[in-house]
Amino acid sequence: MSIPDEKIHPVATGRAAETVAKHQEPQELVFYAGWFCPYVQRSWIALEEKGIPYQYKEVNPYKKEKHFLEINPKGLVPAIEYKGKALYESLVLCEFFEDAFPAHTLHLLPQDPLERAYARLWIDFISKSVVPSVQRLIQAQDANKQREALEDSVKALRTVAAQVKGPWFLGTQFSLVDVVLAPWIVRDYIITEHRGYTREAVGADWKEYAARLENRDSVLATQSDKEHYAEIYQRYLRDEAMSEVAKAIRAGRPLP
Amino acid sequence: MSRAYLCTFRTAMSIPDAQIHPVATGRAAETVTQHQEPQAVTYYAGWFCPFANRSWIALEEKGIPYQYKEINPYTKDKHFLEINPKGLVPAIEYKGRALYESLVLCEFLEDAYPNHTPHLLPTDPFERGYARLWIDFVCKSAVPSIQRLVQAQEPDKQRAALEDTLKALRTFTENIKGPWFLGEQFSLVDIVLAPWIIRDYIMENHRGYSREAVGASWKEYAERLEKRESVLKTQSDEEHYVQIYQRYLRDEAQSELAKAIRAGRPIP
Repeated sequence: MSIPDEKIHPVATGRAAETVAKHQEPQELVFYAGWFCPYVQRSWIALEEKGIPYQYKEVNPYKKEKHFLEINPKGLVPAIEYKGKALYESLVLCEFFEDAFPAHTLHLLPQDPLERAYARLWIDFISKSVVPSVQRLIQAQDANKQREALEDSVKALRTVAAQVKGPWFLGTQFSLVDVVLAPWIVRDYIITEHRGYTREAVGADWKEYAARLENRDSVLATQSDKEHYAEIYQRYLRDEAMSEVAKAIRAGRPLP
Repeated sequence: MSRAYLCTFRTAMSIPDAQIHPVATGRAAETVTQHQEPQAVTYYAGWFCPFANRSWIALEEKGIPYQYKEINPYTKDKHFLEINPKGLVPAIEYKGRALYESLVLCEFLEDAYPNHTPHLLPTDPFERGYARLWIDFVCKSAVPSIQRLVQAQEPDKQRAALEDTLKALRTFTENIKGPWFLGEQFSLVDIVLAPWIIRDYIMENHRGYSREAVGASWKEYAERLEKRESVLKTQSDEEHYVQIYQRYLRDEAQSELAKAIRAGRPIP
């Protein structure tokens, strides 16, 4: 979020606004977020699932707070401040919450080393295959590129869907695998309306899983009103967005 | 967690890279010989693969018992494909199940063998997060730049990739506490970059890179890291890497890594 996208609604709305209001007291953990950012949503869902006390601070792309930039010069969100030091990267934060708050259940990763590794493997697949395909699909302008990106997205999602044990990815345990997917599932109406995607095209089980995940309370609690996302994703659909993710997709570089 | 990579060698040899020496040589061959007994961990690797090198170094550092099995286009391991249909290396078999992805393997070794020191990640949660952040930086910035540099054919692309590489390595260097990245503790941050450091003579001989251009402390760090015992023990004789990297230098390599770089896709 180094170069601001214009006209972003400045604050969370809807259920997310209620959640923000409940997290205004100073806490040991400060959570720096952009209400609309899917990567932020991953770590936000994790915080909500685990009931970790945090203070929510909106990072305004037009006006990043001095203190935030002092501890986190790259100015990236999601980020946390914990005991005066900053950490960022959504997946690093999710793992940190597991390590630093072991008494806060849910545990979002299995305790067994092999099962934990299995979960991480699928988190990695989602980050490397699902998210980039979906982002490419949104930003693709050319009909051929859209078709190709749609095929890639559906293929990647089918691979994930085939591994869902149900009701959640790992089975009865809701986990980080579900968390890392959720923000793209709740935004998939964008690719349905504009890029020819359907959940049905992935499969009936996928549709069921996606519906279950988007109704999870931590997911609902971190979502703002739909109309405010439109200004943001419209820019992605026109491939005019200036976020680090958008630029990386355009340049064919690894997603930051 | 971030990007890890695997070398894909489909034993059906759909697109073989030509002339790869079939086995480890030099110090690596000695290490392979010492790890032929069946163990709880079976480690599937390509001797030349930098990603396999990462988890191999971790195994050696921690003294975890493992059986080494070479997987490359010339060897067909039916059992390997049965448990790991994607056929990716590095991979391990543990209690009948397969795991892959070099970083997932490294984290697994920490979790599954808590009594095998050194611990390659800090135990303090924040410091652990900090280490993972820099592992992520290596995977997202340093390694892709280096790979792009090696595979770049046009002078302006080579120049851009060299600048990116120097910039990424300088950023890394600024944060080295010394003697290792995290300070006293040798860690996964050092391990994930080591395979590219020991191969940097390729960029030096062919792409105008030098350790000095990154900086004096980088040069010192790189020299220290390449002499680490676990790094030396997992290295084969230099002449055998030539056939492989020559294909990368001509951008003709057919590994998943090479293809991803060409396509501007995330490194698998």
